[in-house]
Parts: sequence; structure tokens; C-alpha cells
Amino acid sequence: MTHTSTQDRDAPAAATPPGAVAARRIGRPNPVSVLVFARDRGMIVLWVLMLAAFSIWAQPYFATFTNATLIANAAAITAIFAAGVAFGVLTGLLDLSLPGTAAVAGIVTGKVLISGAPVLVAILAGLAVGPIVGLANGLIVLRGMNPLVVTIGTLSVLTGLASVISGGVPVDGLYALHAIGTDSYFRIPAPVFVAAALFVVGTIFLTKTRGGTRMLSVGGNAEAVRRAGVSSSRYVLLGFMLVSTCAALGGIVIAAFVTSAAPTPSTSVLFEALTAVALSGMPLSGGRGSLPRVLVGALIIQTISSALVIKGVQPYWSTVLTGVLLLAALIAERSLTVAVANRVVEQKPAAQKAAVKKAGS
Amino acid sequence: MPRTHVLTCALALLATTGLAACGSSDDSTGTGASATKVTIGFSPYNQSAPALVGLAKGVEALAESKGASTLIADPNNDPTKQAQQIRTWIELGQVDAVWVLALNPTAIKSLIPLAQSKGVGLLATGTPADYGQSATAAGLSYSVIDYAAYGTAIGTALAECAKERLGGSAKALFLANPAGSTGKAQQDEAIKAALTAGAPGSTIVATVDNKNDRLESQKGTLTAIQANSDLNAAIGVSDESTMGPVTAFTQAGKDPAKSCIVGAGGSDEALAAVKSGKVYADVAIQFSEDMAQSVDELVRFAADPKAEGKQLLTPFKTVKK
Amino acid sequence: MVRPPEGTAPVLELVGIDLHYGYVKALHGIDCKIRPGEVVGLLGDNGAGKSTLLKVLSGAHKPSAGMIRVNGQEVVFSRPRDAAEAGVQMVYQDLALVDSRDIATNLCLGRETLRKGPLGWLGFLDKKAMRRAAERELASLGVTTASMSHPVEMLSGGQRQVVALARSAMRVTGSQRGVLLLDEPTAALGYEQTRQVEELIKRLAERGIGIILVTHNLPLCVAVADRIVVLNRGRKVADIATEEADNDAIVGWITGSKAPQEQLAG
Repeated sequence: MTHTSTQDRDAPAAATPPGAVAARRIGRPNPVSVLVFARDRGMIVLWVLMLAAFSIWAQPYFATFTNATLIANAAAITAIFAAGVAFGVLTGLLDLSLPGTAAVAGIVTGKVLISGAPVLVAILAGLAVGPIVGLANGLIVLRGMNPLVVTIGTLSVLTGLASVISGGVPVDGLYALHAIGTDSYFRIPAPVFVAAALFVVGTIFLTKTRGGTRMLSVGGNAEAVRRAGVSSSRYVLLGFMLVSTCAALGGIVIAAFVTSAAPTPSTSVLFEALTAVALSGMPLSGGRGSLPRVLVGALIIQTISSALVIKGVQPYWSTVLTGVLLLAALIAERSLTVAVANRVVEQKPAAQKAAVKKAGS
Repeated sequence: MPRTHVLTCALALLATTGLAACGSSDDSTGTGASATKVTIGFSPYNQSAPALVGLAKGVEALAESKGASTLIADPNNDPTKQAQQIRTWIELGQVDAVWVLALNPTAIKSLIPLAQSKGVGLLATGTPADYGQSATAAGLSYSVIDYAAYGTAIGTALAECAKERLGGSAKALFLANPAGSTGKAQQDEAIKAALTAGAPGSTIVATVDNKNDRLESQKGTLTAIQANSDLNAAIGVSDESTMGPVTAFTQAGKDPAKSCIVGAGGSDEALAAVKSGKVYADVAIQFSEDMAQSVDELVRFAADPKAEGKQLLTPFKTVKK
Repeated sequence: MVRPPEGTAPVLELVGIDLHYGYVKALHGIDCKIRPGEVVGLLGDNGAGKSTLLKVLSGAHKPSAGMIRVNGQEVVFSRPRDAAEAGVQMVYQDLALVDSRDIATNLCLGRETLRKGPLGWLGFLDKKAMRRAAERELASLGVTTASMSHPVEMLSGGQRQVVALARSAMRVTGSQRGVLLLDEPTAALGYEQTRQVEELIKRLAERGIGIILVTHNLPLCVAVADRIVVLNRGRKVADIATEEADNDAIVGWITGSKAPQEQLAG
């Protein structure tokens, strides 16, 4: 569910006018409230617990301001890509071409910058790659093809393109991008601000604008949207363009942070983004989910990584731990959804119960 | 309707066979082996990494200057494809000698008997043991990076920097290759040994996995610095793990020119950093020397397929300012 | 059931509707008139052509022959959107609701209210206004629920049906009288919920909306419909006022054991 204002609870039933249909009141018994709370905010609680645990285990370095900024910085980069994946999943699509778009965008920005153009022009040039790739992806998918297959194809094309544009060599010396890369403002690294801005704008878009709400509806049930007379194709295109624009932004921020744009797409970045989205409990069927929770997912991944690096634990434990956590989160989310559904539909006939269980997936 | 169906099938079959015929020669550039001119084959990991593209071009030019033509394969990081391509070359008699950067020595191992029977010389990366052989043989040579020597060069460079810039006591971050990387054990041991020998007062205070990735190296260095604020040196073993710490040190407010960052890999960016003093020394693989000695070996085999094989060592050099 | 007076102009008229699927003729010369506020029960066995006729009326299929008139005007539906715009709204068996969104979003889908002023130009929704509109609509149908902001999947089957009906009703209400096509609205519902939907249909008819109700549920049909039309193998075999028909006759027409009605009301 999108993060709107808190749900109404136990509102008194309106006095039924004479002769009117007696409506069933949707009460909110306490067990359901607790379960819904656990499902929606469970991730945040988990993260806070982790912070506390790691502060003790990896002391004294974990619980310092500097380390917090490092975690925030790493999470910011993952989060930008995770936002991209999230926009896609919310619209009901899975877009795997993200790393390719990121690579091409980074290279384009790098090349434009090296050629002497102002920083803003270089960044805009790289960002422009996003909507273009998204449009291409969307138009092909709208011809009736599976988004997964199409975006794997475009990933190949983009990988080749990145090599061609860059001549196969990374574009170095991108110090001029420091404003969004290596700089810190009030001791907080620049990428954190970029990610924060993206998430604020993204959340407002999804929850408060017509475009956002229609996009979410398309993800939930595209057929219903079509039958209501709204063009679902338009929102599929919008979804793809948002995904690729986030990827382009991510590629540019990485290039700024590392001061070098590499032509080889990084699949690990996509993997982390997918994990963050999955940790946030967003169902892959589309139409529901919360962008802020995706941010928490990214934070959780990087928090684990930070603690393990500080303690000098082997890196594969980080991967194992993240994987275990992911499975646990998915199982928990599923059980909670089913539990909520079962409680609310107590008096329904069996057929309806099955329908709602399916809806919860 | 059935007749056109058959026709279409026939056409499709013809087209496929035709394409297949074209396909096998698509992987190669240049002309096939002819009676007069010697042809050598070069099979790197892929033709997408810039270094390998450059290498292939260099091999072609060098071979040309020695009166040989070259066929280049692109296995696209697939060991099975690599073996298949070379097998085709040997069976069709297209090459006189082959230099292979083996993606997986086991896949190449099966080619050895075929190569020997057809009199095609083979230069493969690794050691005889990798290919199930006890030693080099006629028409069979190997080329390897001496990881121990590589590591020693890196460790020695750090020791020298420590004495020069840090009064002999460096507190270093070691950005090691991921577990399972080729030659990691020998390399890591050699680095530590050389450091201790050259600068006894220096220590490796922290180790991170460089994950063969620049961003990860940078992030790892930043985390290590805040856990060890007196860090003043870094050891990289590749281009990514050399440039990562440079940026990280700068971000953390430590001047690379006053610290001791040593690395390896030999990319242009790294060599430029050496010139500017940010990186004290870079152990650079001498690609052109390696290429020259490899091509020479191939030409030698082309002239005499029964010539005795050798174990070549990939040359490298420590580049300082 | 308040029947509209005999002379009232029909809101929907079918003249000689034929539909061919290749060599198969699915509909043979169907004639039918629906007056504003009239509820017509469309009955027939499986394969009789009820769904096909609905598809034609909702714009999903073009008839091979025949004419459709809405409010006296001849119309041609190339796609469902045309039918919707002409005032013919179909409520599908699967309800076409977006489960993850709330009632207000579902009701206002496609005609969301934007905020006034510059925020509105950027596409910002006036959620309060949408909520109020949804509450108004449901209240006018005599339905109250506790909150507009629950996702629709949490509602009972009957309530979901109500939401789907309300959504379509919102779209046909207006100066132009419209028609609602209901495809098995109570198929998955229990007794109590079916009664609720029954009340709702009556209320909608009171508003002047013409309703075609396709159902297997004979008691429901008899309870709400002013007229009953029976199809058998693509042909209309009966068109009779509900009060004049008896259950045996209806069943006979459905199964084909009873001969088609002599005087078929146009």
C-alpha cells in the first residue's frame, strides 16, 4: 500500500436512513491493526534493532557520525537504482536494462564533460539517456512482448553502445562533477542529497498526483484502468521512462563519486537494487508498495555491509546474511498479509476468501 | 500450400548452412592459412575489454612485420566456445601456431593431442600442471604471471615508500582480490613478506575485499579509514583497487602525495597518477614485451612444430615517478 | 418495480442484430428495446448468446448486421470506449477493480479531481474532493461503509460488487440517460449479499438508468426485472413482462422445450 495518511480505524457506522441498504461496517479489531502495523513498518523496526545490535558488536566505530555518513552514502547509490526498479515493479514491469543505461549515461556525461562543456550540460546530456532508453523499452514492450525479455535485449545493446561511445576505455578525471559526487554538505555526502531529493519527489508523485495514482492502478490491474477509459499504454511508457531515468541518474552519480565512468555495466548494482526492493516487501505483481520502504531496504543492506567490513568478516558472509534476511522478510510479509486477509474476511464465503488470498500476493 | 511449405523449409536449411559456413570464418580476420605464408591464431578472453582489443591489434601488426598473418577469435568469455574455435582452426588447417589466453585450462587441455598430431604449436597461459602435463613438451609452451614475484614487487615498493615518506612505519590498508582469484595466495603472501623485510616498522592494519570493482574499493577504503584513523598507506593489486583508494584518501582529507599508495595494473590513469605523485609506484604488466615474446614463440613454432617448448614469464615493471 | 409508461422513448434499441463467427452464426436478428428506468432480465442457457449480445452492446464486438440506437441516435461502436462514451456502461463479471487501491480511487478512476490552481496543473489530486464525491455517490445508492480509504480487496464480495456498480453508475448518470449492462453480478455472492445487490439495482433503475441484467439466478431476475428476454441458440424466443411470465414458461424457453413466443414484443 502506498504510504498515505494513517488508515481510519473503527469509524462509527453512519445511522442507516430508513429503507436504505444496511452496509457492513468495516471494523478494525486490534489484532488486525497490530498485524498491519507489523507488515507495513516491520522493516523499519528491524533496521533500528540492527543499528542497536551492530553499535554494540562493531564498537566503537560503527556508531559514529562518520560511519553513518558512509552508510548513508552507500545506501544512497543503491537507493537511486532501487527507486528505478521500484517504479518499474509498481507499474507491473521488471526492467533489467538498468545497468546498461547507467553505463551509457555515465559515459555520455563523461565524454561531454571532457570535451569542455559546462557541468550542468554534461549532467543533462547523461540524464537525457534515461527517458530515451525508457521510451524505446516501452514502445517495444507495448507491441506485446515480455518486458523481461525486451529489457535483457536492450541491456545487450546498451552494453555494446557504451563500449562504442567510450572506445572501450573508461573516461577518467571527472573531478568537475564533485558537486554531486565527492563533495559533502554539512558533512553529509552529496549523493545522499541526490537520493533524498529523488525519493521525496518520487513519493509525492506516486501518492499525490493523478499520474502517480494512475500508474499504480495500471500496475495493480491494467485491464481495469483500460476499462475505465484511461490509456494504460501511456502509463506503461511513463513507468519505463522513470526506471531508466533513475538508472541514468545513478550512473552519473557513481561516475561523479568515483571520478571515472566505466563502460562495463555493473550487474552487482542491479542485484543490490532488486534486493532492496524485495526487502521492502513490494510484491512483484505490481500496483502496491512504498518508496520510503525501499529506501529502508537499501539502508539495511548497507548497514549489514558496513558492520561486517568494520569487523573484518569475510565479504561472502555479508551476501549470505543479506540473502537469509531477504528470505525471512519475504516469508514474514507473506504470512502477515495472509493473516490480515484472514482476519478481515472472517464472515466471507469460502470463494471470496480464496480470491482475497490471491490478491494479497 | 504444402508445396510452398516444403520450399520454405528447404530455403531455411540452405540459409542456415550458408550462415554456418560464413559464421566459422566470421570469428577470424585475415586470410586462411596458405602454403606460403605463416598464419598464427590469437584467442584472448574476449574482444570487448579495451586492453584485449589493443592487444589483438598489436599482435596482428607485430606478426605482419615478421611476415605472418593472424586470425583472431572472440570467445566472448565462454570457455567452451574458445575451445571450439581453436579446434576448428586446427582441424581445417587454418593456423600454424596458436596463442591462447585460456578462460579455462581444462577446456583447452583436450585440444593438446589434436594440436600435436596436426603439428600446430600451442602457447597457453598458465603452467604445465594446469593442463595436466608434467612439463613443457615439443610444440607446447606456457606463459604465466609469476604471482609471487608480482607480489614481492608491490610489497617492496610499499616498503620503499614507507622509508621515504613515512619514516619507515606505514599503517597500510590491503585491498585484496576476492577469494578464489588466480594466484591470490602466492601474491598476498609475497606482498606481506616483502613489506616486512623491507620496512619492519610497517604493518597491514586492515584488509578489505576489492571485489574487482572501483566503487567497492573506494567505499571499502573510506570505511577502513574511519575505523583506523591513522591509516597512511594502501596496497592495490589491480587498476580498480589502486585508483579507488586514491579518491577515498582525498575524500577523507588525507593527501595521497604524502601517503603511500602503491598499486598494480598499469592503466593509463594509474601511470598518470604515479607521475603526479598520488600513487607512489605502480607494478605494471609490460603488455608489449609480453606480446613480443609470445609472438616470437609462435613464429618459432610455425617454423618448427617440434621445437622444444618453454615456460615464459609475463614481464612486469615497477613504475615510479 | 416502477415501469416507465409505454410511450417513453427507448434509451437503447437493437434492430436485427446478427453476429457471425466465421461460419457460425452466434446471433440471429435480435430486436430489443429498453426504456429509461427499465430493468430487462436477459436469460438463456450456456451458449445461448447472452454474453455475445453483451459484447456487442458494450462495443467489444461489431455486429455483422443490424443497428444499435442509443437515445434515438444510431451508433456504431468500434471499441469499448465508444460504447462508454455513448452512455452504455458494462459491469464485468470480474468487476475490473484495482484491488490494491481504495474505494475513492476506484470510483474516480479516469475522472479524478485535480486541485485548483498551479498544483492542479502539475497534476496534484484533490483527494478530499474525490473522497466526498465517492461518499456522495455511495450514499445516493443507499450504501454506507466505514471508510473510503480501505483498499478494495478488503471488502466482502457484495461490497466489491457495490463499488463496481457504483463506479459504472457514476458514469451513466447525467443529463443523458444511460444503460448499464450487468454480467452475472451475483454469481459469487451469498444470499444476504445478493439481496443487497438487488436493492442497488432497483435504486439505479429509479434514477432512470436502463439496465440489462444477465443472470442464471431466476429468483433475482423475477425480483428486479420489469421484463424478461430469453435467448436460445442466438435467437430471441421470448420477450415478456415479468408479471405475465411464470417460472415453468421461462424454463421451457431457456431449455428450448417450449416453442418461441408468438408475439414477440419489439
